[in-house]
Amino acid sequence: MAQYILRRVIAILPTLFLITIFGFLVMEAPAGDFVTSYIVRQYGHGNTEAARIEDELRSFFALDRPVYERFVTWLARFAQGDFGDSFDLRRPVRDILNDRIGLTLTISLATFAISWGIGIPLGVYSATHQYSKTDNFLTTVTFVGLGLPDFLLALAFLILGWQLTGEVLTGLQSVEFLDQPWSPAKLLDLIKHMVIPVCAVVITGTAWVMRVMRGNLLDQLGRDYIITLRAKGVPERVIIWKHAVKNSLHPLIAALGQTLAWLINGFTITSIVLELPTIQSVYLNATLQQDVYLAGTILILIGFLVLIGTLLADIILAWMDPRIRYE
Amino acid sequence: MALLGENGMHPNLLEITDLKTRFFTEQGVVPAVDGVSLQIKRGGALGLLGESGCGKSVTGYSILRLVRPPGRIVGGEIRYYGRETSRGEDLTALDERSEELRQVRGAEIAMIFQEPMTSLDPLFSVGSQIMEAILYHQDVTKSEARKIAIETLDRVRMPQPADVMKNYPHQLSGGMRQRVMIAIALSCQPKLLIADEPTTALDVTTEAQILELMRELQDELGMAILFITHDLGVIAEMAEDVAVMYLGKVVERSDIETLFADPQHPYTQALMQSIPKIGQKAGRLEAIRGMVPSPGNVPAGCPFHPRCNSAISGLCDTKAPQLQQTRAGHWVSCFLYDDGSNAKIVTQNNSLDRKTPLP
Repeated sequence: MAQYILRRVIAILPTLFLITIFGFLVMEAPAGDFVTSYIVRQYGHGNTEAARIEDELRSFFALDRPVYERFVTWLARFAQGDFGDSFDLRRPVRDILNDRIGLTLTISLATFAISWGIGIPLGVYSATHQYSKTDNFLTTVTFVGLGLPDFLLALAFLILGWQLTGEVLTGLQSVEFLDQPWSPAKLLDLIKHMVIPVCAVVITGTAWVMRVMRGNLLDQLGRDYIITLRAKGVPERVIIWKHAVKNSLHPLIAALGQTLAWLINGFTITSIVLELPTIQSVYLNATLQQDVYLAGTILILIGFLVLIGTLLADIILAWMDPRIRYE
Repeated sequence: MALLGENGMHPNLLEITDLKTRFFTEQGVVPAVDGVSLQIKRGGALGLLGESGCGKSVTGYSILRLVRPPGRIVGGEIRYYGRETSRGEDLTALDERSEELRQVRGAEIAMIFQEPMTSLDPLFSVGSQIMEAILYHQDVTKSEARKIAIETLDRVRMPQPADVMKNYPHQLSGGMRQRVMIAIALSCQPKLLIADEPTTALDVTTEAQILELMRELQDELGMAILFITHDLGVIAEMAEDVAVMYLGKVVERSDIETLFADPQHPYTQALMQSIPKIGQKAGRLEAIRGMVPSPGNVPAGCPFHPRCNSAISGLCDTKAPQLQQTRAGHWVSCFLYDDGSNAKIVTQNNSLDRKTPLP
């Protein structure tokens, strides 16, 4: 077991390396570079000066060097823990991520915990009361939840919140708290701002968890071993929660592998719409502006989380299901 | 109370009276069990014989109330005399999720199934699945339950029972899994074991071992068995009494020797003729004409008449025959025996000759 995990962990490194090369190439693929897009944006603001110093800008950012040279230099520094600087924000990538990771994880973990915490019991209820009024109602709600994108819900909630309180609850903090140290009032303010994004994303998240849980549990409840359990006089509650639910968790645990990356990569559009100071909004901008070191670092982080998540899911599945063995 | 034997005990352990179990599907109502009456003696072995889809398994499932929606028991009575030995209790009156029924399942009446490969939960060890049955019915500690489980595995002739406890179902062969299923069923010493085609999915040598094991265990433990099968050979080995079912109805009932010596219902006769016999010149094996009609589309009159070589036009296709006694303990539902004294003659006149033109 320990050997298997070690082997899998070692295998992560070459995969990450390939992801990095590929990511770098994709970002280089469009015509132009960060300087080109910077100049265009400066034009938009009426600043024609930037175009004059194009070459100086390019050598300032070392963008005049060939791709492979920039890549190798960056990767060498990356290995030592220096992720480079963001062109656009003129700050070390590490600082940008440090600023945002806390709030990003706060929102995404809250969303994750709530949607799984609600989704699993509701899915179990739906499956064990198939075609009842409540099941039909929940099924309808889940289809709406799955059909509506979370950013649209977020917008609707934003307007609703504005009509109810007169405040436009974008971002995660009110201006007056921005540079304040943490206090109960600031925490309350944060929670107030979290309600809209968390609700919007929880609705779609719960809907998905519920659908998966309901479908799998129904499948399991139709299996032969359920009849055996009933025939030996095991209480129905135990049959459902101990046996059927445990057998239904496979796809959810497999999805858990993706969830780890989703924590810093999910609900990007909602983040943008609500101006949330999360990693995903910074990632999207960095990609658009070819801010390669910032985008590259986040890409590696996402790739790393996907690989670790998949490994964790594999380990949990093997631990839960005696039929799965390490090769 | 004239029926009661000594000690005021009812002679039968289970009495099914006019049981009707229907499936309410989108294509219509399927009367899978249509007015079945059966008796199982204390410690007796009743065989329930019939082709696929005749309702024999549904009858077994109905006893333990294991019929799944859209199936439902719509009428009749299943009276169990295992706890209330003189008055009995009607199992059809219990709620499917009630504690009373839960205490019957496994502890009083146990059941084993056709598919040992899928009848165990793949995520739990064999030991924990046997112990689960014990712990939900007996007031014992975990380590006592473990001891009972190992003893039961030993009783079903499982080699190295203590090691097998740690195994998971997928690590065992079909025969071994069926032994585990039998061990689960026997772990609480039930008074009745329902065996629903327990050897159908097994190969022939394993089948013989399991059948022998079940016979020995029945002798040792004195429990009654309801043996459900389509296999005449198996029924001959396992049962003392037999009921033959066709399309949801019992068409013939007697003890095993009488049934094999003198089958009276044309369906039973046809079944007997469709077995190859050793010593006879190999020719074409007799098959029953036609197909079993779908249980959702039962023919009017006697359900067997479209396939019956002795069918009487104008009678068998309009009126449904009732079970009647043709001799002591031999019941047949067929118009050929409407007058019991003519039974023999009628059978001879209408022997199953393929060349006889249909009426």
